[in-house]
Amino acid sequence: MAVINLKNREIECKIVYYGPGRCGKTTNLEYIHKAFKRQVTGEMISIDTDGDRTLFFDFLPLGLGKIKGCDVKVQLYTVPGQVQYRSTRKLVLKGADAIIFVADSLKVRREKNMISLKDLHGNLKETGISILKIPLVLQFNKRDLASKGFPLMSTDQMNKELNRQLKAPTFEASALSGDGVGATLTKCMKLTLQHLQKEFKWAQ
Amino acid sequence: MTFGEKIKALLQEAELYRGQGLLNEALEKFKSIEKFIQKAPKLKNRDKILSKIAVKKKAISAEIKNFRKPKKAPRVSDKARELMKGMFEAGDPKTKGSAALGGAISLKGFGQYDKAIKEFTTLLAFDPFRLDAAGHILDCLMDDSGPDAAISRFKEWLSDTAFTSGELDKIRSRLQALLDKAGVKKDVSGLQAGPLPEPDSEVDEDDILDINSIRFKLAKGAQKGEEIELDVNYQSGCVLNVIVSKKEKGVIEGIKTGDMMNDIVFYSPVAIFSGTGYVSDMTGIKSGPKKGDYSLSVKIIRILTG
Repeated sequence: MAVINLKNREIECKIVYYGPGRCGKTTNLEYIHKAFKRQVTGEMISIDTDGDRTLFFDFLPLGLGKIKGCDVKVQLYTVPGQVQYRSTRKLVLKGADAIIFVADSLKVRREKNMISLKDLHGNLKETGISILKIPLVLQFNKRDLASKGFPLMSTDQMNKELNRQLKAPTFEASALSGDGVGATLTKCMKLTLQHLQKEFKWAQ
Repeated sequence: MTFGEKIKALLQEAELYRGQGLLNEALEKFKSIEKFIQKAPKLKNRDKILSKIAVKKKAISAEIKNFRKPKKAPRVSDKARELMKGMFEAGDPKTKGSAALGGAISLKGFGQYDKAIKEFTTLLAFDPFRLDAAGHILDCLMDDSGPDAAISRFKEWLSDTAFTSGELDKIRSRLQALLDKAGVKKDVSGLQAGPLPEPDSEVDEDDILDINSIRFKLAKGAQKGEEIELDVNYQSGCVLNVIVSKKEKGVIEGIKTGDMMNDIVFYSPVAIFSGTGYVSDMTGIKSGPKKGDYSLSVKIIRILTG
């Protein structure tokens, strides 16, 4: 849940990168850490286990400066994607103001995307949040792998399978090169601030 | 595309999955290539390719097996720990409105058991949280060290005056539930207070300095909570002997054989350090000039390093 201090005109919100294991959530944060140096307000914290798999979460704090007179701070988190870390994902998801769901474009990961989205839906529901009401952006990651000979799903197919009911904004991306990473985050932050404005009227 | 080119492309795809860390997908791909090749007995270098695939399959299977092995959560930095503590909201019903309880629950959730136990132990002093905190401590011990550690802690509480008998009954039920859930066949309903089995010292005897005196807080008795300082009579390795004067009635009734002494401070001529001790003996002296006094033996179990 965002911390809004109207007296000091400060907003702090939490955006969580969700998605199946190895889909590129940490790579998104690593790119942001590297490319948005001016906005990064602290160190990136990563706790990974063997094989570069995130065990707990990654964390990156950003400062967006003044927006409508308010000092806006954003905390970016990733969850561990591997199926067995469900309870950790639930902990990290607590108090999230918005979600970026990173879907893997590889054909062989089709089912894993669906399982992870279902897991997100279930975990949000348990904390009393509807997946249809929380600001949500979908990122179709690893689009660059087509050129390396990997069979990918088309974005149409991914939209149909993951986004038919959600109708969330989608972005094609390659987190490794950074393509689409900034656009995904910018859209998510916009949606988050609009959502918070609707709830708390902070910009008045 | 020729048959050979097709196999080359498939092998490349399998390697790409492996490079992406998608081990299951890589293994499945190698298996399907293997089947594919087995249907082509006339393929050039067929046996060589099959044996190479077998080696790769074996290596990937080992990686998957290693990855699936249950691992202890790594200890993390203070900064990461602070972030973890903030993840359980005070508004969550499990926290009973306490950010401190929520933070400790969160640390437990992330497998940071040492720190979580430390925070839950602090909460034992606060009435609204003490029972929950005790339950969480047992939970942490079960996960981190196993059922014996949880039972041993419960025994400590039984011989302590920190909990009422009603509270101990509730904690006992919680412990039984934890043991049942873990499939441990142990009935704790008849568990009575008794001396703890003597733990092994984690300290290398050669590393122990000569200790002149010790300071600790009495955990029970009329002088509970009072800090006591006693001179060491003699030292044998990691066992210290102290004479407690018969006049110190509060100290005598506050220490029993089998007690653990947490946060004990050791004074040596060159350094002061703290740690944990175990009361290996506390008996009255029956003859000689010290008749009526008590001989207390404390075994140093652990030295805290930071």
